[in-house]
Amino acid sequence: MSALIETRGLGWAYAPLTDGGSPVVALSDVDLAVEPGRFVGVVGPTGAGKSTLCMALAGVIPELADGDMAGEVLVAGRSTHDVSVADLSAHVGYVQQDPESQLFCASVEDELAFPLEQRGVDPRLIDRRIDETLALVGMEGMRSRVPTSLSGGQMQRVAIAAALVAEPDILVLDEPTAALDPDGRREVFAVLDRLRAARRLTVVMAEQHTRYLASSCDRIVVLDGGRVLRDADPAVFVREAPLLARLGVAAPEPDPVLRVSDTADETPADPAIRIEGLTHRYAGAAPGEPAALDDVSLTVPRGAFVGLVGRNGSGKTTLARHLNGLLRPTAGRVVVDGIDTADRPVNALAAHVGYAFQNPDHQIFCASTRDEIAFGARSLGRSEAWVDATTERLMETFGLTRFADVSPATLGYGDRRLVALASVLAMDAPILVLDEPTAGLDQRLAARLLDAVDAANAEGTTVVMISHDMHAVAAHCTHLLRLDAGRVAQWGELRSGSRDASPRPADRRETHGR
Amino acid sequence: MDADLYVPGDGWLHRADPRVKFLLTAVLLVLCLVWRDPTVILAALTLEHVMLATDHVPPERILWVWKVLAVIIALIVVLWPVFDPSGEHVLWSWGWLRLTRENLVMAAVMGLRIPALGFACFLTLFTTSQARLVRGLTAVGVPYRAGLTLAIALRYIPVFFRIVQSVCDAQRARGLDLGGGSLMARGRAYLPVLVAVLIRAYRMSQSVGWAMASRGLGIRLPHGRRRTSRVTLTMRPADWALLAAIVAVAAALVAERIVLG
Repeated sequence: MSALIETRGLGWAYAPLTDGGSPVVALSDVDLAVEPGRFVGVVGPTGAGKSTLCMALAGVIPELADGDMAGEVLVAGRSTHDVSVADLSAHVGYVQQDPESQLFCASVEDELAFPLEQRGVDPRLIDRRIDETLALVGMEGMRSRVPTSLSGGQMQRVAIAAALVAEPDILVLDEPTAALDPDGRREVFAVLDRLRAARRLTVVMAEQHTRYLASSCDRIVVLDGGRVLRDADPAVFVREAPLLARLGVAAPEPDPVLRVSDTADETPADPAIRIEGLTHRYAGAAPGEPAALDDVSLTVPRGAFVGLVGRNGSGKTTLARHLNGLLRPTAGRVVVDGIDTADRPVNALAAHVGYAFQNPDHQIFCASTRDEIAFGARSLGRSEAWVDATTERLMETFGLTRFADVSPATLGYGDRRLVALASVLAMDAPILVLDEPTAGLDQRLAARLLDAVDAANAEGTTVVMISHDMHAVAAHCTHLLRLDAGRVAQWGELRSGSRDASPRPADRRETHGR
Repeated sequence: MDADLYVPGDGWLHRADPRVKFLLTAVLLVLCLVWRDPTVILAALTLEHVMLATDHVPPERILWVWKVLAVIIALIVVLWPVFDPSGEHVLWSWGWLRLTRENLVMAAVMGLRIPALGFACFLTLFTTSQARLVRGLTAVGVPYRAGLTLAIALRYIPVFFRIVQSVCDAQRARGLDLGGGSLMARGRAYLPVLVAVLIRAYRMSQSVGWAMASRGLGIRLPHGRRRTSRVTLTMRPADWALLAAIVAVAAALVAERIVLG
């Protein structure tokens, strides 16, 4: 069978983001051939070139991105050098990582109509195609919804529908589940399986979550440092487990079931966090709408490492934002480090609670990585000598020393996350709140990041970590708080008890998979 | 501002043809810019509120417009007498500052003009969905890409506000004081917010551009085939009636101005 997609000696170097910078090599000598109907999973560490490969297959590289390309990419026999992204879209549908920036229309139906309108499809047929395609991704009845009002999993299903509505024969997906909770992830893969059963579709998907890749794909490409390291069948996950572990590629295992003991609510004398009857309603919420948080009460002892889990929209971030005063209780009380948050400004609480946001780009702005990491500590008025020493130490820990004088905004995603976390760690607050710190990171980077958090925890810092990664929660947390629709569904000390130093969280799953 | 400008609904303005609404907005804009008569501006402002209310646009949205414009209105009302010391009937003077009946009336007119102009635009923006906006703009001769860009820019206004909010939160959580100090100090404090917002907005706009191209924006079509639109515009009797009313009122006002000079 002849290949539908072929890359020959594909290389790509991003143009430097700043004057005088050097180009960043993302891919070198990539030779791949994908036959029609295949489902190819692309795995590899953060920064291995997975996104870049997807961009090259969709034609974004070389047409729309800045940089230098070597070799060529042939899609359905035509070189992407000669075909525009728009023209290539007759063959390739492209789904990006961030749902918000790829759904640019004001309603789901417009999102799906757009590709059809561009192709001059008869308006009477457009409506029918929209209905058929929404049914295919399980989103019937959602036609007139505003995309931003949907859950992450639903948004990605709309993005997939919009990429497929004009019936391309190839679907390229760039980590479409990175921002999703486990349910959203399951939804996306279920849709892909259904689509492939319905018609012949070639899929190339970059993905960190390998659990479903192993069962859905018929081929796995392992990238590292922009090169193809392995190109094999899914059994590679078993055969080459040590190699993949070294690269930080997660093993395809089901999530552990987390159990807690109910002894957790013994009230300590001087707790790190005390929450009493906390209820939060967002201003402007409809009268009948349930509260975002509904009568949450719990006490977190000092030195605990709390895993805060639950579905998207269950109230995790709402709860976390009460811990440093970004949100104020509608009813109830939140006391952190002995201070009632009700009447303290956020910046005054910053000395007590360090808060790392989900998106590192919301906090990065300094001209150098060194300044960025030191910024929070300086704002708090810590001594210059202390700030310098701490910054150097953290850059060392996170392998960021080589970027000390580089603008952090120009770094890769994984490194930006590390910078953002380091800048919060540098503030040396007794309580640390982390909002999905490992999302989009490979296992190796995630472990490095969590080890640094463990080290702070071992010195007495209380940690609250929002996470969708149950392996990480099982491996690092002492306590578990599961929220469901704004209420506490599970709270207590993790039954697996103390953590151990095992580098493979999966090895110490003491409970059974789902 | 964390909602789209468009207010979903099914009132008479929502159903009206966007082209007629463009004309309505344009006539009101010209009217309020040319006439300096407080009664005309007040009448226009009242009419705009009546239209929005009878279309069942929620009062909160109308209030929101006033809130957004409040600072500009206040600045103009306060500064007008400072820069325009003209007028016969001096009410109060202190050095070069003169408050006269004439310049106070003008200050009020100028103050009212801002919301009158604003609401003229929001008549269309609140009641026209993105798809009908693009369709309407192309139907009156605006190039497709320009219309699309405008409509998508409007769609991202609330997203942009959310980014600003998140960035402010993230910087405050790092101990940045955005609340107090002199104007200079506050400006400096907001610099990190601005830089982070710009970086994020840049990444996002790049992503949107890629998404649009990969969905086929600008795809080459076979000869004789043209871009279509899911939304079709038809002038219903109600639209013709509204159009006639707009033209009649505009003509009457122009005639009055010519006759009375």
